[in-house]
Amino acid sequence: MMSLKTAPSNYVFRSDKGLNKKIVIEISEKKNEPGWMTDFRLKALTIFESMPMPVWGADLTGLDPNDIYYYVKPIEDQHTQWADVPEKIKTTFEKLGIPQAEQKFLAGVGAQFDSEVIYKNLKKRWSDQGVVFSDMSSAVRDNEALVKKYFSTIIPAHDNKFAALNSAVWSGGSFVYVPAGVRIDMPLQAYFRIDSSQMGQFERTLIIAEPHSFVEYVEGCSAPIYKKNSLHSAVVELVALPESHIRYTTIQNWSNNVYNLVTKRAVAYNNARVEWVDGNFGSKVTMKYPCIVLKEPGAKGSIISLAVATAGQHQDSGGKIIHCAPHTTSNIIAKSISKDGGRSSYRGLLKVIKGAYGVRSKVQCDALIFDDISRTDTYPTIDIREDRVDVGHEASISKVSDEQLFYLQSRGLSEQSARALIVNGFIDAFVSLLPMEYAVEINRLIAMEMEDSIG
Amino acid sequence: MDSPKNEYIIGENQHLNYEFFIDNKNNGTVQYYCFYLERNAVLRAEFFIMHADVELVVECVLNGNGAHADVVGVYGAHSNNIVRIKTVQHHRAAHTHSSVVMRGIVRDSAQAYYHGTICVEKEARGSDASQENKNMLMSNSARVVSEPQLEVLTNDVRCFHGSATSRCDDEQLFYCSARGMDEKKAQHLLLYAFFSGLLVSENLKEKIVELIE
Repeated sequence: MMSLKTAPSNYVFRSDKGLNKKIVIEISEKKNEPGWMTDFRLKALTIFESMPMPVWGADLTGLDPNDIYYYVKPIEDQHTQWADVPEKIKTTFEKLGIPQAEQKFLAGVGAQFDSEVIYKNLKKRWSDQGVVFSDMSSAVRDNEALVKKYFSTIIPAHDNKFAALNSAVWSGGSFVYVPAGVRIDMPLQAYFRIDSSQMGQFERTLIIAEPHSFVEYVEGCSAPIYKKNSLHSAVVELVALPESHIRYTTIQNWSNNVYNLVTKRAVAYNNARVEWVDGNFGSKVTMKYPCIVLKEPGAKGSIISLAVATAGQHQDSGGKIIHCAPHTTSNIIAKSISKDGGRSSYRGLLKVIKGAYGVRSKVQCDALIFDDISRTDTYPTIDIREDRVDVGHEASISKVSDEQLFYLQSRGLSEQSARALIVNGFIDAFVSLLPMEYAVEINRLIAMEMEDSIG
Repeated sequence: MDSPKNEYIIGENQHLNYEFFIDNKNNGTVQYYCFYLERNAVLRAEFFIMHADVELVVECVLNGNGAHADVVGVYGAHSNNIVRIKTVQHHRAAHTHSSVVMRGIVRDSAQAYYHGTICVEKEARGSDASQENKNMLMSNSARVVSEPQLEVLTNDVRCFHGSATSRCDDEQLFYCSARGMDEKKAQHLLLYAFFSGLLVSENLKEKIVELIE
């Protein structure tokens, strides 16, 4: 353990620093996992060790994966009633500005405090219909057959170094199973939070939507500030079976010392629809490229993202869409704002394989850049191997134009509110897709960001 | 080395019109062009690649305030051609303007790769940069890869890039057919329209008909 600490640590279990076979087995044993999962973890560990660090994208030199704790289990056990949630955690939510009243709107809240989901409350009528919404570890125990069928089939451990790391040490995350024909009309929610200094958070989420079902999943995350660098490396897998519809919304607001390296991928079958709605506000470095594989005819995919990079931040985000079947359609809308020396990059891939005719796809990247110490980049790749397609990519970079500002100011708005109005208009395509509470939060956040910028 | 580097320095207030035709005589070469533009220099460069296996690299470095560079490329690739085009627009001074337009037809089992970079440095305030790559795919064995990149380090800029890949629009073909044109002729007309207005050079313009047919 670390030497002198001012406050006594109240964590029940904390694995040693660094990563080895023993720790992986320890994590697996603590969770009472079946043998196949332990084997999977160990195999992933070997892959993690053999893979080099990525040399492209954001600068990861400040990151030492050996300097991270892999698993922390909070003292508090699982709760089902809000009243039972410990005061400490409630205050945290209070600080994050999450109103309790929100619960009424929500089908269930799985709040992840550190690595385990400690609070979950899925409305009874959904569970009566066979919907499963639990943390991943419970799902491995209670729904082993389902988990075993889909787990790691979308993102195998050898996908990339951080997917391998997650596969070896994952803990927490959500499991959602929506039976055929069930439409969940209120979003399922989970909050993630890094609490312990230097602790890595490696949640693993798997969502399975059976034919003709609909589910919207919202994750929001926030973390208090620590001096040491933290690592967050999640893996999210979505399976959209024929005619189903999944919308996955992320609002990422980690503190400015977190390396956020996330692998997200969805597979869409016949006429299924997948939407990634991705907002990146926090973290020191984010590398996140949600991917949709349109596997069968008629599948639709869309990625709508917003990145805000301020001082010391690099938001390297984007999207990947792979058209594997005829008559599939997709669109990507990526908005970014760079200010106060932040850097935001769009990195994307659009691929149409041979035989995927009748494909339509549109990619649009818009960047706002506020000052001359900030930076914005666009790195798209478009790879087409079929002639009967209609594919377009567009990107533009601009500042808040003086004419727009002048117009609004001549109508009596102050410069600040004019600027906020223009920025709100700029990100509207993103905000309009969010659940109402989130949209309000984002608008508030943008207004706050604009207050201290002179642009 | 069979592929020399061609470098041009365009001095203050100078104009340069440049045109270059590349065909299968140049197969297997890398055609490298680098233009350095001083204050208020103007460049217009036109490239034409006719069914050749080549790599074309065009770099524009805008060193002086008010420099202006327009680069236009027309390319056609057929049978097993592999065409690689790389462009760099490097803005290093204020109020500079650059535009790159690359359009091509890719047939049979040919492949076309485009990699374009716009880099706007901090000093390049008030700059305007654009980049466009459009491809007509005429066969489902052909392949097009397009990587238009932007790197912008200042805020007082206008940058735009676009990339589009499609084949002749069915509705437009139908419209022409309904006016009594046979399909081949209609296709030629649409392809001609695709390239129209791009080139200024009369020599190169003449080649378009050959490229289409």
